[in-house]
Amino acid sequence: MRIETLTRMAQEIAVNNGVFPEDEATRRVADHLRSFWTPAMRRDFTAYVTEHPDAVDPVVRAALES
Amino acid sequence: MTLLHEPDFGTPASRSAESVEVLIDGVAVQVPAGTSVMRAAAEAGMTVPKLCATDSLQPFGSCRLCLVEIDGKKGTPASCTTPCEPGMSVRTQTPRLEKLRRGVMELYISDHPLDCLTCPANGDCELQDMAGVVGLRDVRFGSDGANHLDEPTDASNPYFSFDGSKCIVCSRCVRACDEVQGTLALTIEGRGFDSKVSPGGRDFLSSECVSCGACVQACPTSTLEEKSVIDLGMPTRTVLTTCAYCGVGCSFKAELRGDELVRMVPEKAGGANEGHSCVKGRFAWGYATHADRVTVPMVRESIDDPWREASWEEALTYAAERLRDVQARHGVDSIGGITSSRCTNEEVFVVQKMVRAAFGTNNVDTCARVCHSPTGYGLKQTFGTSAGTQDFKSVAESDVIMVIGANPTDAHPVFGSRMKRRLREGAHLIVVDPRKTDLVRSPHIEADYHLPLQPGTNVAVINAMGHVVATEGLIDREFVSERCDPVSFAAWEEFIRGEENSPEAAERSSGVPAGEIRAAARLYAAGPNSAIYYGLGVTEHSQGSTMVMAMANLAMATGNIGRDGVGVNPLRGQNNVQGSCDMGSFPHELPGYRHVSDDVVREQFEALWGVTIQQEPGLRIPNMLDAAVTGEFRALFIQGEDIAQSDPNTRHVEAALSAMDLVIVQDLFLNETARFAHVFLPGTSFLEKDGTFTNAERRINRVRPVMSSRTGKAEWEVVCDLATALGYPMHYDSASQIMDEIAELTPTFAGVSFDLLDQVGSVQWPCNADHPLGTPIMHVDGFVRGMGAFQVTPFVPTEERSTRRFPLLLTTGRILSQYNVGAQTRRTANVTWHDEDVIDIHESDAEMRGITDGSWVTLASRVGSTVMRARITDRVPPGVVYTTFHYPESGANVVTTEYSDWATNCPEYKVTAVEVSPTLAAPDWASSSPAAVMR
Repeated sequence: MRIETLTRMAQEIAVNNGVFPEDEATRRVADHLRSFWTPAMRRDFTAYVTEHPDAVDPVVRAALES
Repeated sequence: MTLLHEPDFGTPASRSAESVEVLIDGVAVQVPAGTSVMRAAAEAGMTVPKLCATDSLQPFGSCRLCLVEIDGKKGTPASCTTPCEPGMSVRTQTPRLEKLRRGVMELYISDHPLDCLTCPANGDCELQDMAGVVGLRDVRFGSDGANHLDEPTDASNPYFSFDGSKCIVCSRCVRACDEVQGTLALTIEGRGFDSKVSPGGRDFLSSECVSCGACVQACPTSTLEEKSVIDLGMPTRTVLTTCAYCGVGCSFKAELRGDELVRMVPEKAGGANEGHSCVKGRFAWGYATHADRVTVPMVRESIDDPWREASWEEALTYAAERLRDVQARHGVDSIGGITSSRCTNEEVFVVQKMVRAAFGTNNVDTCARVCHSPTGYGLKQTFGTSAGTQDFKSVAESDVIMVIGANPTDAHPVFGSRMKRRLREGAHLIVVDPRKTDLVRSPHIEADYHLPLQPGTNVAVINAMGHVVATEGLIDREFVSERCDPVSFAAWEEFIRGEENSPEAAERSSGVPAGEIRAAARLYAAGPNSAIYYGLGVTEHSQGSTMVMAMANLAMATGNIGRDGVGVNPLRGQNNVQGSCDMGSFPHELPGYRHVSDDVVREQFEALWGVTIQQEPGLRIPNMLDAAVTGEFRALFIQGEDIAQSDPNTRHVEAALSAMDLVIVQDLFLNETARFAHVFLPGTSFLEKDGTFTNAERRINRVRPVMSSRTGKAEWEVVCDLATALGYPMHYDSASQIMDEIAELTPTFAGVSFDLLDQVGSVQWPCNADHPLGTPIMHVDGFVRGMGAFQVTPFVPTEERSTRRFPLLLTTGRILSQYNVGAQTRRTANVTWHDEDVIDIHESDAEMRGITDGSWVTLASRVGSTVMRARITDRVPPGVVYTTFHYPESGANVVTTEYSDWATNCPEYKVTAVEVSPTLAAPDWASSSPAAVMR
């Protein structure tokens, strides 16, 4: 999938969980990615975020690392 | 079976819990208090003659045929309007009554054509029947005097005619239009001898009539008659089945002569519709035998090649070889499938089984992705199960009805009629919708509050209602403490009390005055029975799932869950949306909404299916299309869906389909998507299917074959054959066997079987050992998940905003006469009412742009543009435009965008920034006649 699409999707998930404290938001984003994204989507997105850590919300980054 | 005549008890059943005993012709009869003498007699098997009475309508007492004698009472009262009283002794047959009845019949017949032998209703005419019942032998009054024998026939409606010469002015049609349908299109015009039924306008077609057929069904003579009966003659046998259109899922009697379908008549015993219908289910079934049907398989190497007819074996072998070839070259997850809500549970089940077991991937999704996937997500998070809470009947107990982002009188008309009936009885109404739908104000209906919010601000408004409930002491503390999780409630209460959720804050984003939001919230909280009904105006947003959870929060906070008259209820767009979701069509869930990562559940399927199932979720439809554009996803099996017309951003969808190595379409027609297909597998219409549909109230209804399959195979058989050709043998002897497997693997369906459905008609899931006859109302004693879970639902505005270049917001939807992408309804006479999609625009926006009513305009967004006619209307507010997506020629989804719900990727169809501008050039398709467009 296009990285732009994955980034937008992940950012939207983070923004909609932005009301929670950071650790709770991180857990929720991580759960969501595990529950609804394919392994390939997670793998490609993780690779991109590893190379471009500033491209996403810190919560998204933390969720991928958790 | 032979032609099924459902009993008619003359007047509606009383719902009183008290009973009274009366003597009818010396026989003691126990009936609920309030039961009419006519009904009591009918229940005791002693039918009283009648003409103006029928049990779908309130008693009227005009025909004077149902007269009876009652001990101690003077005269001969009409049995339809006389309620039973304890100890009452009634005589239905006496010489005096017989003489009176014959006299009445004599008068009727003296002004009625005596053409029974050539009348279309011969054998199905209550006037004819009653003449026999009363023993009419001669008519003393000749036909020389004034009469109505030369009254004209109104044949303007494409489906039925009105022959004024045969009308006995019993008012059953007028009352059916009023009481059953709630449109009030008909009236009795004139007085005395000049009284006659009138549609108000010039004729039926130009009147307010919505062609629901209730008047035709109510007519005791041949005055209102289906044209198909006039053309073909009276049907001789009945097959009970279920409509294949919207999520109401009406039960119908398909009435045939031999193998030819003559008419579809709504079944009184049908749990969803109780004898009512709409113009689609009642009349628009002709597409099933339309000349455009493709009934043989077809293949081609490339989408640039012409189609070539093939045998089933050749087509399925070709499809299987190419699927395996794609997987060999690009990996097991490079292919997938899409299931359809127009197909039966059994057909959907085998497709997801084929994808998981034969394809070896979880890349299966369903069209609910683009409509109600947020419902599944949101209700599961809060209540614990992905379904609405009530049965349709429940609305009769509602005191406050809140309709959010739904237009039931157009999209779910039979339920809309139920709702209007309750509103006419005095229930309060809140409508939350940018548009002024019919419910906002129509005859005898007026919303207490219409909150015309800006598209995209649902969550702000519903949160503000929650804020009012929380800050004004309107929370049902007892319900919350007994039924809901205290931790999640505390978090929600703290959140919702925040100033950012106040009505004043919501007014700034939504444009709805804070005072109106406060008043509506107070009304909803006051109930005592308040119900929420919602549609795609809730789900098809970037915060569709958030909105579903926010509505569930509001219902729990006010204690409006778990009994008649309350609840949170999705109105599903297509008949089997609920069922296709139940059947494991989502890429992350096996049947019964259980995640694929659940080892215990997966092992159960693996043991029965003899394969290993992947434990990771697969791709959703938008993901599949995106991955196709980037070359990772290469082949797709599509069951009964037309994603090239229905899914957003047509250019993107077409690019994805074009990029695939293999597209397999299983459908009735060569639809828009088939332009990109390599294999076409002909499908079956609902009239050929054997299986079940599950409607929006979780009601599992039988779909029975009315005619034999025009392709020679059932759709599930074709899927099994394809799986077998792929090396995974799949075989069932019947659809019933598939349901048995569903029941074995799905706890909520554990008690369901064709035998049970044939015995009891229908059941609502959960249907299992605890609930052997199903569950009409959910969460009665506790939520499915245990304690109800409040969810914090922050309002996050969509990124799709109006701009200087695209200053208007487009929202899309459907209308009464057409359905979804129109593949079915465009191939019927329903085009009489809607033969092209138009763009609704407010007068001020039109004037500013120099747009006149009916002129051609260009509708453009940042992703595409199309041309259609403008309709100037005050149904949309300034700044908002609206269109439908029924016609591929105008293709509304050319302009909709890639934005979607954050949790489910359900497209944001309801918010697209657009500009509308005048154009001089009519599109090429506009030169076609409506008949040519009807394809």
